[in-house]
Amino acid sequence: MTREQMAFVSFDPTGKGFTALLSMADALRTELDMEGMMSRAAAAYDSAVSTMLGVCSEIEAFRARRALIPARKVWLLGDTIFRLRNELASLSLQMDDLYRHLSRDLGVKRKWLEKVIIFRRHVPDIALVPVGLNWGPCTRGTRRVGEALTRGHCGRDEDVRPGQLS
Amino acid sequence: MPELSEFFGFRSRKKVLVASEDGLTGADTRQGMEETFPIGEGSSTRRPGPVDEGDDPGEALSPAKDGGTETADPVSRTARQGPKIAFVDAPDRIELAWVDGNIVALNSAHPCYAKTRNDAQARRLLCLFAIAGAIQRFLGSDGDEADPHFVDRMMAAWGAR
Repeated sequence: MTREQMAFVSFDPTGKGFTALLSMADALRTELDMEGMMSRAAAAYDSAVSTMLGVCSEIEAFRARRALIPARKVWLLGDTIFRLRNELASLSLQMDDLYRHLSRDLGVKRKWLEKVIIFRRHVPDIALVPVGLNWGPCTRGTRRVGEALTRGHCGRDEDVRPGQLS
Repeated sequence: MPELSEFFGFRSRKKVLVASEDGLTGADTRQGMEETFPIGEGSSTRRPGPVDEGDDPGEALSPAKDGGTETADPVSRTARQGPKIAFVDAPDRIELAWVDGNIVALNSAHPCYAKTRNDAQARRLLCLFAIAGAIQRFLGSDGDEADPHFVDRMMAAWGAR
């Protein structure tokens, strides 16, 4: 199924989790079990948000003690977003404005999320991210950094120096 | 289902203003925006394109009455519109569905809905009927003009697809 054929789903917080909302146009078009599809989507989003909030609080803890943020932590956040997207796609759904949802539910800025997603998009495997690499250098020219990591130009921990990747 | 799309006005073609140094339309920036989409597309993965005035946080250009502070050009876009649906487990409510803001809530705890659990086609038809019923009741509330044949017309539109 192409992205054009996938129905748009959005999520509203309920206090105990999230309710999935489907546009009326998609609801009338689909031949699938709407309730089952929407409850599975809401559960997937709820689970992904819980995971992402956990990673975000770890990142926040690094910030709070003025420590450098490991790029692998940020990659994990991006990977959770990608896995959520894939899980929704398996239900023939796509999120209606991903950034608006995640900015609201994670309490982070859209611009930062964009970099997180660009980083994950260009680095398909966490093994490509050196353990010693910090997020700071990855925030400038994020795509180029990701491509360099994937090409293996910075594959060993000892290769990574501050500013080298920007 | 074009008949029903026209029924609810799911997407509408509209002109939105885009800032342009040599634009011919005077515009002012207003708070409140709504995303729009290129004609024929609706991808959620791209950056927001030109925005129209709306209720979401953000800014949008609005035609100015007296010259305006910026110049802009109109661009043809479509906007995703219309109500959304959600399933709500509400055993204490008698309604099959109801309108709550921009959402039509379907009562998945209604005994009638429970009876259709093993019949996908029956459940689908029930959902459509419940949606139509909720909208018909809504149209008659708040001083709006009632439409006692809304259910009939919507089901006819669905049946004719």
